[in-house]
Amino acid sequence: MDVRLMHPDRALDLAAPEPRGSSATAADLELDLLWDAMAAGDAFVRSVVRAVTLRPATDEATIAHRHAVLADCRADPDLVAELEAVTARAVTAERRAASWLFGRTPQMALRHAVQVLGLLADDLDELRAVVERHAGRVRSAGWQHVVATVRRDLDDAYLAELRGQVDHLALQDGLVASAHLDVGGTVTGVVLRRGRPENRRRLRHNPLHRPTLSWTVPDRDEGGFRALGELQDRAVAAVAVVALRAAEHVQSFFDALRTELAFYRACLNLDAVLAERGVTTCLPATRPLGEATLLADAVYDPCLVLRTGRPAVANDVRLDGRALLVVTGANHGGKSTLLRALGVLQLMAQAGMPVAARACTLGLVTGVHTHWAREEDAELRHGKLDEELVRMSAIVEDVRPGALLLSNESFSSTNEVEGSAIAPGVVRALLDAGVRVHLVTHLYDLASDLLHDESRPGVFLRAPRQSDAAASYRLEPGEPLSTSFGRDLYERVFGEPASA
Amino acid sequence: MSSLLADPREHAAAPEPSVLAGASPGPALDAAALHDLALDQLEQRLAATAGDDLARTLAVPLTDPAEVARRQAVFRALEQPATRAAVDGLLAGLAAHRSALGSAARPHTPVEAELWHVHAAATYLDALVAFAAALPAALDAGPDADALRELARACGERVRSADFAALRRRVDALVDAVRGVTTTVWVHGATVTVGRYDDEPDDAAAVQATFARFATADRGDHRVTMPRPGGMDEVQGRILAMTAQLHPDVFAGVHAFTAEVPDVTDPFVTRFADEVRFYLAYLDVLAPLRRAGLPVCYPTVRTRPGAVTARATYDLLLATRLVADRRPVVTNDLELAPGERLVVVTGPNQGGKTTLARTVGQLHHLAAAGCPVPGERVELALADRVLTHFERPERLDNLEGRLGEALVRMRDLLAAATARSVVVLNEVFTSTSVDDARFLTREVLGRLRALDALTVCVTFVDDLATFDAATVSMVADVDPADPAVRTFRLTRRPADGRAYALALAERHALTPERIRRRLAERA
Repeated sequence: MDVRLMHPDRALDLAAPEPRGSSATAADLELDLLWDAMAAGDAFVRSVVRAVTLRPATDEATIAHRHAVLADCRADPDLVAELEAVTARAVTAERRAASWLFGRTPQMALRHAVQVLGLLADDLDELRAVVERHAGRVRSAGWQHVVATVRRDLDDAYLAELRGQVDHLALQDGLVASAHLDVGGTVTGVVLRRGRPENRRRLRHNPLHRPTLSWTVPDRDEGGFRALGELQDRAVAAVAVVALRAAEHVQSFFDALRTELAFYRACLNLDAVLAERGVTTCLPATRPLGEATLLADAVYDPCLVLRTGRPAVANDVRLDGRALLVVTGANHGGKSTLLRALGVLQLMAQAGMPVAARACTLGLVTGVHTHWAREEDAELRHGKLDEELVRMSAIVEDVRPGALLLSNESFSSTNEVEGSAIAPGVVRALLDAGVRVHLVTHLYDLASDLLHDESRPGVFLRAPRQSDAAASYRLEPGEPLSTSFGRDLYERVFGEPASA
Repeated sequence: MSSLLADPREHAAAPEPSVLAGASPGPALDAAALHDLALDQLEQRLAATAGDDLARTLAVPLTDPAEVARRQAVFRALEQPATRAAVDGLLAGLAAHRSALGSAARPHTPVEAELWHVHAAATYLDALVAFAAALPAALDAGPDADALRELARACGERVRSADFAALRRRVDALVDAVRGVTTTVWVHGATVTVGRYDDEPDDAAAVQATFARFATADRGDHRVTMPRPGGMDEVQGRILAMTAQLHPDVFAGVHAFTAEVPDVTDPFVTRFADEVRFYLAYLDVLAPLRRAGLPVCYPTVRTRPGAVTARATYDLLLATRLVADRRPVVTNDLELAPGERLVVVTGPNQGGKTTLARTVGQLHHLAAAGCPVPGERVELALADRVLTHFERPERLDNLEGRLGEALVRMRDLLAAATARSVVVLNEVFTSTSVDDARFLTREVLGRLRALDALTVCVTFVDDLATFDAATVSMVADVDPADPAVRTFRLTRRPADGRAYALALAERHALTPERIRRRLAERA
């Protein structure tokens, strides 16, 4: 039994560690704002949506599969809500069991497992009832798989067999076990067995083949009773483990269902929050891995919307087969915001979520890496350039062909000559290796170097000076200009002309 | 039957081979020298697995190259996986034998002690048979070792004897019979009922089958504390006694064997098992170094003083610590022509000077103990003893006292040194002025040169590096890119004070070529 709401052919697996650099990427793109909104206060939902966002799906089929499942969820939100209720209760069966798994001897474990399985049997009944109520309304492959699985694996006969096993494991008539003698004559290879009915004589319990010998632990013989308990523990150990595993497996089925539901709960929450802010989303069209396509109409940074509560500036970006995007222009001109918007767009699209754009077609990438200049970094062990180089080197260590690197003012924490000496080589080498690079820079030498590199054509956008566009932050295609716009900002902030 | 009752010691009456004994030991290293060379740490590590007495072997040099060769041959053979496996198998068998006899000491029921006795015998006999077959085969495949060959011969004679074969058949039959017993137990309330097994069906399998459909994602460990099997107790004792009653055919034979054959071991095997622990403990020390890619070799040992070669050598104990911490180990080359008898080591602090000096001392002593040594290729003369003089700041507070103490120790050292000695001087006379140190060290070096002892002298006095024509100067290097970085590499070149001022280079592997190469490796 598995759940396939997230993948066409398998259950979601979040056991693998997050890709390295994930927390830097989350911080650079301000993804916490997105996840908080999608979680709506539910820590479990947040952990799932975070994990899914940071592990981008790299095949179109998975993304299409999630889009279809999401469509069913949007059409029948009660299905999601009712299953959430069942799964949320089922995963607490362990806690609801009156027995407590503390001493954890096999006999105690077995009694505990029997209780938990009894509770879970009720939850399985309830699951089946919910699924039957909604079965006629689902269209997507993911939901149809849930329906088919429940109907096939949780039919009446099976649920009865399951309850029968649970009753037997209570071991009301004592236990029968076979054993061999180990070196030194201790008992070994103890296997729990079911006594043969034909060996049981009338009016007697003894289920063994005759002749037999018996011995009874004397009253008050503590050592004897302890040894007897140990023998029984050994006899039931295997079956206790099987029963506990069975309970865990049933619970992990509920867990898996709850986890995958959480992703769609998060998407429904996001729908609601963004609708409230008056912005629209779309389900993106995808192109296969390696196709450097990005056609986005009115793409915006959803995290900025969530922070300010207002619609944000939207830009059109058209990268048709170009692996390089260079954004230059005035400080506070919306460059970083655009870069963030593109990073978030890519990650949301590859999570199978709706994206923050009016319309969007994008090529999939193998991973999203971010390299932000960190002026506030107070690490004293490294110089600033040194620190940036360390981080870039770590990215080079992890990056694969077909990945996306977002570079925000990289190598600019030091003077322009040093940065311009290092950056072009790095960018070109990454492009040559099949990495897509979106970069924001005020290094004129770098931008113009890339502009004139005909073997690696890019798209160049420029942020407007404040006077040009009245703080619209809307970026237009444009070649890099050699003068910095910092003077503008300086003069505005200080209210006086710069001295030189 | 009478031969089975005979004292087994008679079988080993003629040869009792030793793999460790040396006929011509030299004077043992004293405690101070062991400490200076860090060999006290090695001795402790050996003692931890081989015991104090055997570990003491390390401190005693051999004076005959033939005896060095005999030990080296045993080491070499034990480094062969096949020989090592044969020996490990024997040792495991003997340990199991001892432990089985120990278990029989306080039985819950007499049957229990008898079963242990049978098991102990079976364990020993099996181990000896396996060893007698495996050892000669392993030695044939090479490398051979005289000491082990003598042992193999003795083992072969023992296991091929007629009384040994009869003993083994009897024991094997008993073990098989006991193993064949299956008993069935019914526990109800406080009563245990035992019967003969009637092929009752397995319960866990049925439960597993019911829940199989959920077994997709195993969340790993169940949270049951598994009962520790073994450990005889009252209930198991009763089950054993009742089972024995239900299977009298099997347990009568067990009883008879115990009464008739009290001990099955051979003294020459016991002695080997004891001595070989020295070799194995030493090889255990080398194993992590080898895994870390560090070279270890068998030194070529000459009797007469002459050239010294040690390629890629290092301090055995320092390397052991560094490897344990997963830190890199730097190796150094030492190359001395026949006339070169004094090595003066200079360079920046913490640059590896003392380590080099200690390494030279270790090499000579370990080679004389017949042990493999750190390095790729080592050739040296067998030293009659290794003498050391390290500063001991902790002993006395006032300067005059410390200098006086150092001089007394130096005098004793000079009195003991010969042309065949190796002398290691580490920062001697640091407790005085530079002029004094220069003067005193020159005096001492002059005497050592007159004795013609092979001397390594670590000093901060640069001009000692040109002491005389027989002097070799070695200098601790620094990283040319960053003078703050010590390389721990020492090279033969003139002492050069401290002219290490160089710029910081790019070291992040972010040149276009390096990036392309790094990414190409993954594509």
